[in-house]
This record gives sequence, structure tokens and C-alpha cells, in this order.
Amino acid sequence: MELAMFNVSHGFTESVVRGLRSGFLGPEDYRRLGSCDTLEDMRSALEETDYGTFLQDEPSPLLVSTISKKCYEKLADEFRYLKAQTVEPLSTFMDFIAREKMIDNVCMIIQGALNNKAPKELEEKVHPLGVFEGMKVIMSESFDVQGGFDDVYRIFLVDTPIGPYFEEYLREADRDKDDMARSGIETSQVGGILTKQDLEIMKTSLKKAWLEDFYGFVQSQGGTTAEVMGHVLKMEADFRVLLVTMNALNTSLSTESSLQDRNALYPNFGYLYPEGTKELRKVFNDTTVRAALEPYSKYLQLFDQVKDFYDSESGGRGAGFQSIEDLIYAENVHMYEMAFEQQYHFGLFYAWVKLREQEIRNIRWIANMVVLDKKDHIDDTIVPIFQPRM
Amino acid sequence: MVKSKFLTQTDMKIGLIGDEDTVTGMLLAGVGHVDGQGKKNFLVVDSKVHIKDIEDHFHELTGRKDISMILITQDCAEMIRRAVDEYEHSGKTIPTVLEIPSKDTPYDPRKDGVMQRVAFFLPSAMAALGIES
Amino acid sequence: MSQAGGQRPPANRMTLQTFKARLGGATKGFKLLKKKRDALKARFQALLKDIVDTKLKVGEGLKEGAFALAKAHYASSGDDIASSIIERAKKPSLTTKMYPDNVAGVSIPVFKMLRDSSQEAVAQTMGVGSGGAVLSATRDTYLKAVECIVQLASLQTAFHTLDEEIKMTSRRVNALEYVLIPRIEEIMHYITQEMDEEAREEFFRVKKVVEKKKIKLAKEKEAMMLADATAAIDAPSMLQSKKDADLVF
Repeated sequence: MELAMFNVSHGFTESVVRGLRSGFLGPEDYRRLGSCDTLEDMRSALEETDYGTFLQDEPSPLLVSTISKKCYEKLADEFRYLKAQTVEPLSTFMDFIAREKMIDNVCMIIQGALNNKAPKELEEKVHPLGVFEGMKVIMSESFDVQGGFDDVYRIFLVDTPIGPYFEEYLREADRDKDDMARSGIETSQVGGILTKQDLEIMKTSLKKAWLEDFYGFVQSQGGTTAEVMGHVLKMEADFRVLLVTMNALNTSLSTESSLQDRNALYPNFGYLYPEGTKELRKVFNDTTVRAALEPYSKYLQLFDQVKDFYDSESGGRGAGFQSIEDLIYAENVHMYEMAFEQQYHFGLFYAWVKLREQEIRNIRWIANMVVLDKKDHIDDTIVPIFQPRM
Repeated sequence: MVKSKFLTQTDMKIGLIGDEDTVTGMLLAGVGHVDGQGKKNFLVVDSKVHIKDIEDHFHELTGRKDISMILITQDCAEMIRRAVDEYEHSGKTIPTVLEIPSKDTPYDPRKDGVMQRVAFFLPSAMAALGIES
Repeated sequence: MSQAGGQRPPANRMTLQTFKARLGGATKGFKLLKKKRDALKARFQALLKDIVDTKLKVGEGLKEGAFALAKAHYASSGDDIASSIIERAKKPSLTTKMYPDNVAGVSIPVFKMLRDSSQEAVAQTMGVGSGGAVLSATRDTYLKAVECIVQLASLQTAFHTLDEEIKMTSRRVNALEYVLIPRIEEIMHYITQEMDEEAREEFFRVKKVVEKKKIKLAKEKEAMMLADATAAIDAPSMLQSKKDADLVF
């Protein structure tokens, strides 16, 4: 079935993405970028790649943040172009991809609203991939901060695709806080909950909800999509568990009282789920993390490579050490590259977006190193995409 | 010169004017302060911020009593050089203005009023900072 | 001589005495101030070296911080950590304490960094999803940098204050050395001169008076003697008397 019907609806978009694949920077491009002395050099070096003249209109002096912002905009442009070509169910799939960024944007807007930030300023900070309709309303001048929570609530909860995650989260949070509000959330309470909640935790749990939802969606698609994306998302869920665990080490989140907060952030699927996650729920320091990861040789290996960085006693938490993120990026890139190896599935689109994000991170890193004149650090951090295999 | 008697004072904040990355780093370290009226002790300078705004903020910071020092990245200081110099010559020592290097532009001690004075007394100072003259 | 020109004090022994006392005071003050200046200068010189060193350290620290921040940016998978950090700022966990230090009688403000870790808890959940640990490593790097900066701030204020103070003290020392003391000395010189002169004048005057007196005495004596003599011979002689005018009727 799949073989026969896939190309009818999605053949064109798939081929576009496969075409875009060749737009990734090659080793030659990285070398050229790495040998730049200023950001101006980088601008001209990037002009020779698929990024083209996207920085042309930027005034000098160029800033690192401008470069990465423009890169994201370009990615968003291409993403929107692709999305316009899609039909169901691929459009929904694309929506899911964008939702992760929507969560970021929403959190950012809430944060800004709490601090009475001007909507204009907020507008500049939004991630171009996560722009959605209702956002423009909040950005409009009439957005009144004092009574604003109701607006925020209405817009996010009702009008956006990420509304359900929000609702789930708020209900969860509310249940934690007091048992009385079982009946659901009154609009007026939302403001109170939002101010009380740690936004960072909120964001992470929203993302967890998103990941779970996404997983459910790809499973419902069946076929190769479910197979490839299932694997990808399971890995991501595992990595998320790892990341949360590792990053919570040595912070207040690893104390007895807030373990529950942390554990709420673990996604309810993945290869680690349920046994591994169950073990990890109990960990509170690096030794226990290691013990919990014992049965999973792959993750254990990752952990061992970076455990110096998280060791509270060594005190050697310098910038030179690799963190878990670095390794996971490398793992992810490998995983996403593999997604290109199969045909007739949606994982390709997800992988493409993720790889582009990694590439932008690479560019940003190179730009930073060029500015800081630490170019010898370029090669040991970036993860080149689609390296020619030996 | 105004004869100022320095009294012990705690809970003094650090003022900050600089590019986004520098401010981010400093705030990460925990120097940020926003009071009830939303008045901040820091200012992120990007291409959209007017020189006038920087200057106003600088004056506001220098006028505050609970600020012990003002960190300003050198490129920002360059933009409002006149105001900085004026303050320096006013003989006021608290808050003290510190020019710090910013990420994007290398530090040039020759533009720093304080370093100029230092070099006046210690001719080897500039050489130590990597400037031959 | 010109400065003292117009209003010279009355040259007498009493004023001389006052000026002598003033000279003593001025010299003492001059010596003290000079000592103070030298102490300040010594401290100042030491300070210069420190400032340059700390400035280098600050530059180094900030550079490391920027590097760590770049890493945090990289690790936080494209989230805009900068704005969330900036938005989060509410209460500073880092404040400074100022207290005076004393160098040769000059009070110099010294800053000390105070860290209130209770305020940091909010920041700890930053980047739990990704990059949290890298972020806290970055925080540590910046903490170190801030510590250096605070130190530099202390040095710099000390530098300013000392600079100002040295200038002032030098002015005073110079004023004493080149203006006040010479002036007093000059006045004293003038007074002694004047008094010498007066003494000489007096002597001369006395001499003259004695001389005059002597002359007067001699004269008187002579006159007396003459009077005696003339009293004898000076009786009018009839012969020599003028002829009476002829009476013409």
C-alpha cells in the first residue's frame, strides 16, 4: 500500500527535502568557515553555500545572534514552503514539528508578560518556526498585561495547537497545589498558577507532553513512518530522560523534596520506559545514575564519557569538558541521517528540520569561536552533517 | 575635590550596560536586579538602542545610591564617551565606572580613561596589556 | 620680595616671635605631609601593577565566560536562553558590600562580593530540558569573572581616590615648600633686617643726640664764658656811642 500510494500525496515534498539534503554544508564549507577571521569573512563564506545571500541586508557590524537568527528564518522559510505543499496527514506531522518551537515561544511570551515587556520586543525574540496565528493577537498593542493572563490563557488554551498540552499541564500543576480544584481550571486561576510555576519546568513538561502526543500520532500512522519515527522519538525520549537527570544533578531538583517535580518531566515512553525510567526516578547523584543506567550499555557508555563534567566533587566543571548534550547531538545527527536511508515515511521531514537546527548550532558555534579567536575549538564540538563516510 | 567619607554599606548592586551576551553572562552570575517599578540595573544594548537611551541609563545608574559599580562594555562606553569622561572628571568615586571588554570587539586599553592614567604613571602598563606604543 | 610687598607686618620683636612659631609649624607640617605623600605614592605604585594584572585577569575571565556562554548556547538546542535569563532577573544573588579602608589617613572604599545562594535556586532549574549543567558551569565561570571585576573595582576606586589625594597632598606639600615657608622666612628676614636697621638708626640717633648735646653743652659753656667776659667789657662806651642826631629846629 505504502509503496504504491505514498508518492501520490507526498512524493513531491519528499523529493524536495531530498533535494535540500544536498544543501547541508560539506567538509569543504566547514573548513572555509573555520578559517575565517571575522564575521564579515563568514558572511562571504556562507554566500557560497546554499545559505546564499541571506545576510546581505544586515548592517555591519554583524553579530553572532544576527547570524543565527537569520539562519533560523531561512529554515522557517523553507519549512513553510514545504508545509504549503503538503496534504494530510503530512501537514499535521509538520505541525507537530513546529509545535516544539511554539512551546518555546509561548513560554517566552508568558515570561515577557510577567515582566511587563513591550510586545514589540517580544516579537523580535520569537522563534520563526513557532509562529502561529494567535500570537499576533497577543503581540498587538491592545494586549493588556494586568488582565493579560486571561488573554494569554484564552489564546494559548483555546486557539493554538499546543492548547491541550497547556491544559494538561495546568491541571496537573493545579492538582499538585491543591486538591480542591479537581473540577478543572477556572480562568481566573490561571494567572495565579502561571506566576507560581517555574517557567523552565513548565516548558520542559510541555515539551514532554508534546513528545508523548507526537509519539501517539506517529504510531497511529503505522507503516514505515511509525517504525522510523517511533525509533527516533523513543531515542529522543530516552535522551530527554538522560538530559533531565543529568542536568538536575547538583541542583535543587535533585533533593528529596523536589524529586517528584523532576520525575514529572520524564516522558512515558521510550526504550528506557518503564523499567529504566523507574530506576532513574530514584537517583539523586552520579553514582546512583550510573547504577540505574547499568542495564543499558549504550547510555552507560555515554554517561561514562561525560561523568567528569557532572561530578560534583571534582570541581573541574570547566568549559573544556564535553557535556552530555554534545554527545547526544552527535548521536542524534547519526540517527537523523539514518532516517534519510529509508523511503516512504515522514521521519525524513523531522530529520531534516532537526539536522538543519544542528547545522545552525554549528554555524553559531563557529561564529562564536571566530569572534573569541578560539578556532582550535571548532572541530571538537561541531557535528558535521552528512559527512562523507570513509 | 569632595571630601567623601565612605561608610560601610551593604547590599549594593552592580550596574551593567553591555551587549546581550555580556549582560546574559553577568545576569547568570546573579547581578541582575529589577525593582518593583520594573527599573533595571542593567541595559542590553543592541543596534536598536539609541545612544540617548544609553546615556540616560548611565546617568540614572550613576545617580543611584545603591549602586557600587557600573560595568560598561567598551564599545558602549565609546558611544557615550563624553558622558563617561564627564563623570570621571566630576570627582565622584562611587559608583565607580569600569570598562570591560566586550565579546565582539577586542579590548583597547588606550581608550580607557582609567588605563590612560595608569599608563601615565606606569609606562610599562600598556605593554603588559599587549599594546606597543 | 614682591609678594610681601604691600603689607609688611610691623617689624618688632613680638611679630618676629609669632613668625618664628609659624615657621616651626609649617616645617613640621611640611615634613608630615611629605611623609604622607610618600606613603600614598608607594601604595599607588603597588596599585598600578595590581590594576594592570587584574585588568588582564578580568579580560581573561570574561573571555572564558563568553566561551562558556557560547557552549551553553550550543547545548541549549536553539532556545533563546539569553532572553529567558534576562527576563528572570529579579533579585540579585550577587551584591557588593562597601567598607572604608585606611591608607595614611585617607579612607578608601573597598568592595566585597557577597553571594546569596538562596536567591540562586530560581536559576537552577534553567535548562533542565537541555544544557542545564553547561549553564551552571557557565554561571561558575562568570562568577569568577565577577569576582575579578569586583576586585578591579576596588582597585580602581582606590586608584582614583589615591590619585586625587596624592594630587592634593602634593599641592599642599609644594605650597608649603615653595610658597609658605619661603614667605615666612622672607618676612622674618625682613623683620630682622628692619630691626637691625632700627637699631643702627637708634644708635646713630643717640650718637647724634649725644654729639648735639655735646655741642650744645660746649656752646653753652662758651657762651657762658663769653657772657662773663662781655659782661666786663661790654659796658657801652661813651666814645663809641652814636652821635645824637643833630637837632634842627
